[in-house]
Amino acid sequence: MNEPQAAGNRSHEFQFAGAALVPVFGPTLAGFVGVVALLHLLNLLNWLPPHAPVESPDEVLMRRRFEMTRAPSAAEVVIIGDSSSAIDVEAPLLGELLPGKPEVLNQGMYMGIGMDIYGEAAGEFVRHHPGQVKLVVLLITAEQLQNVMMNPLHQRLWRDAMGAAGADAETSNWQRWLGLEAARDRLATHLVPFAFHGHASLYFAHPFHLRQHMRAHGGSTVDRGSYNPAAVAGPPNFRITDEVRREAGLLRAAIPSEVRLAVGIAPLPDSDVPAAFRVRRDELLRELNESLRADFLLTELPARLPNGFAANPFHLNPRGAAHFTRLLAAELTKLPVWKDAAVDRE
Amino acid sequence: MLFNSTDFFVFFGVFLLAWYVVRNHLAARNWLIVIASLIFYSWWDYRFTSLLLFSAVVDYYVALGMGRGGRQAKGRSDGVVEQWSDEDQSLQHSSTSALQSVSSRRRKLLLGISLVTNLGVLFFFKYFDFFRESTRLLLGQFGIDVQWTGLQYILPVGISFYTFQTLSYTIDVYRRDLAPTRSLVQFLAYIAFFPQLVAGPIERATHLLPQMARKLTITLPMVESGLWLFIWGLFKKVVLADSFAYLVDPVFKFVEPEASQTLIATTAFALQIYCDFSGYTDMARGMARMLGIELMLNFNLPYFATSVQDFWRRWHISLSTWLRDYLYLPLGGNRLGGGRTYLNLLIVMLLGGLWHGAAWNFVAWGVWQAFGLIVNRAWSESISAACAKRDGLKSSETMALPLSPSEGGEGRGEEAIQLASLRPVTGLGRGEEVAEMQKPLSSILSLFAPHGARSGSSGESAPERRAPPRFAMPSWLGWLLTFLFTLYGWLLFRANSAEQVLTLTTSLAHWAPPVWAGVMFRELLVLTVPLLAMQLWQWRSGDLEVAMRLPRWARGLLQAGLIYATILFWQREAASFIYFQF
Repeated sequence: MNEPQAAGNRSHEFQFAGAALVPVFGPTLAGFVGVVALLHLLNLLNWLPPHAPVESPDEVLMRRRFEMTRAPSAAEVVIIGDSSSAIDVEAPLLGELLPGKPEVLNQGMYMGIGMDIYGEAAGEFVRHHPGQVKLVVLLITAEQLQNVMMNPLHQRLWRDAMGAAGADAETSNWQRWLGLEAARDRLATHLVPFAFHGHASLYFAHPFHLRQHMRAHGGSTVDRGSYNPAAVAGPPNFRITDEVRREAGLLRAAIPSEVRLAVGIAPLPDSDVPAAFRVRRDELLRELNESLRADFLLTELPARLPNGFAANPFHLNPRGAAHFTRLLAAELTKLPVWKDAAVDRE
Repeated sequence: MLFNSTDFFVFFGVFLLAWYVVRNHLAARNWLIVIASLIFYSWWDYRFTSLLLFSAVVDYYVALGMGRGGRQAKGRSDGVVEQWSDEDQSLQHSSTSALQSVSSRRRKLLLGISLVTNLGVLFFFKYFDFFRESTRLLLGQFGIDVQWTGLQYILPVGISFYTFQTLSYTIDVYRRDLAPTRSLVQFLAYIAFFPQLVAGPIERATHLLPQMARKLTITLPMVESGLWLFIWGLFKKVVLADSFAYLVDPVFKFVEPEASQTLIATTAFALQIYCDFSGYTDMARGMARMLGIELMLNFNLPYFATSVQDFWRRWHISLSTWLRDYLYLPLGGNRLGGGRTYLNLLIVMLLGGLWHGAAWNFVAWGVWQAFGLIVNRAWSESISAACAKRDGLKSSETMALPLSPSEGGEGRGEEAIQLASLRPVTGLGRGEEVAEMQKPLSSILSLFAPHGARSGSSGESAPERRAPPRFAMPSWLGWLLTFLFTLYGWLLFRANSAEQVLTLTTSLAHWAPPVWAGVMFRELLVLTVPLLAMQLWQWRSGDLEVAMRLPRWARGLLQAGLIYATILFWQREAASFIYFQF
């Protein structure tokens, strides 16, 4: 780059030859190749820490739901449904309050995923833990019955997991060549937080947090928001779609007939529904059960709860979840499934 | 366009090729800077490019107008004033005075046009809705219900930065510290230079404009150190700042965070904002240096500060020196007595807070910083007075802590050294810089040294050093208090509302079993390790670019590791820089 001085207004001058850049960039490039090679070698020799993949909150939750269908577990009660069941029910507290203190597993997912998949989450667990489960509790929001927001991502996550396709499809070739997969999933995730986006990122900074929370809470998650609606809503016009009726039938078919099924609708904030909503709620439950054929309808659960218990229109905050879990436990205690459980124990 | 985006790497690659091509043409080089900078800026929103050009063109002609008539600045071709001379030597003294009087009015008018234009645009886009809403709420308190429609404009990115930069030019020309440039392209290149356009450093025309006018020399060490700065800055942003954000954002969305979570999240935010902003500055300085252009230092180990004053000498230096030179000193600085000095500090920090954003939490943050500076100053004065009394000196001989050499600060020992570091281009000697960087930690580390071995870092020999009065605060305590003070300031800065400030503050008083604070704390530690290690290394060596002392192979390995980590943490959708919103 040392060139003869051009006449006139010279702009800038490189006071080195182009070849001088080789020792500047060379060590960095060589070092980079070395790091990549080392990672591949360590991965090949399996000398890296165990695999802990980086996922989105939804992936973490769906993957755990799938893993739990096959993982060792003593759960006798399985909660299924949309996010209201995942968040509104504190599984360990419910287990404490039920007769015989059975272990409770929360397999709640998301709204719009399809009731048939809820059924698969319970049915798969029952199939891999034969003779163990006494009761499956389906808890959904009234909104879910309208099936207004189908979520293909969540459906795909479940289907991928069931088909053992995994979530690796998004890893590109260049990422594999650079050893990024191994560095991220076997090294970095054990040390530092990775991106967590979406609603759950409000409360869980990192997959560790969500996994740790679910592990400690029998699969239940949490929503710490507070609900302050601008105005009281008018009476909602909830209805059950034909698609939901069809899915309800598939849900029941996915759960072995010897396992009892109870169904309830999660409470809504006071401001969102009138006091008379309870009547409509019970009608909805009966209509749903024409297809679902559940053993028990949880009609004594509250249809509404004070706004102070709500995190948003669909979820309860931790205080609300504790309150609702107690009410649910009281309702479930009345069911004629625990005598058998007590006898079995004896 | 974000530095941490793939788009930018393509852009910068193409720019470097073009930079090589135009090496023999000064005018073409500056045109290249201007065009590339406008493309860079337009990537975000092309509509606001006209706003940037408008501000620049107005100030270019305003400055030219100031230079016409009466006394002219006889500047070098690079714009820096060497001496002043009368435009027309044949004019008689009396007529010169008359002309100067006219000229003075004309210059004031032109300065007014520049101030009204720039601050008007800034106010319109950044503050109008804030003041409208605040006024509406205030009137509502008196039962007056006003329904105003907000403008709800998008805030043009970097508007506060380039507005301050262009304003400094017209004010400098007005003050006759600088001769106006006659080249619009050079001026546009100075205002819009893309590495520092949207988040600083806020460059002074006296420093950057001459570089746009002259031939630049690019040496191999410049390329090497520029590359290092860029890689380290990118690492700080992508790996550290964006990861700290995951510890911050959830907690600042909690309704009822626990004390441990609030504390960890606030600490993480302190580190996030530092890594984010200083990372950007490092990248800007690194890129500029690879092009042969030197940008000013903007951060000097700010969390090693032992007082609030010290913090402001180390944090966002280009803004604090701007506020000092164009606001604090014109208000009277510390020359008008104690009360007025405190008032000046309050005004400056209040406006400094508002500069960051049109929201009450930034106002609160500014007032908090002013409070710290005032308490700091009052404490320093009481110590100085006590020293003077003990040594039999008049208190006025030691009390003054001038903010600039123009206030008589030159040559007043350690204080003067610290204050000199505020200069846009550090004027410190090598030894002074080392002493300044090492001061706080050496005081802390000296606690662990044998009693007789404890020493300050000022370089004074033991017999010359005066013992501090008994009630003087030890440096380690000063550091701790300053850090805690700064942390609470960041809580105010980050909070989304006054209610949240209250919630987070009260949460600190209610310790409960942490939910996942343990995991958060571990992550905070893991992320802090590389930053702390680098800063301790910088401190020990007294050199912010200490990595350049490593042999090439060792630095290459270090750079390779940093690049690998950066790719590992790279996000498809690049996270924006915090200071872009200002």
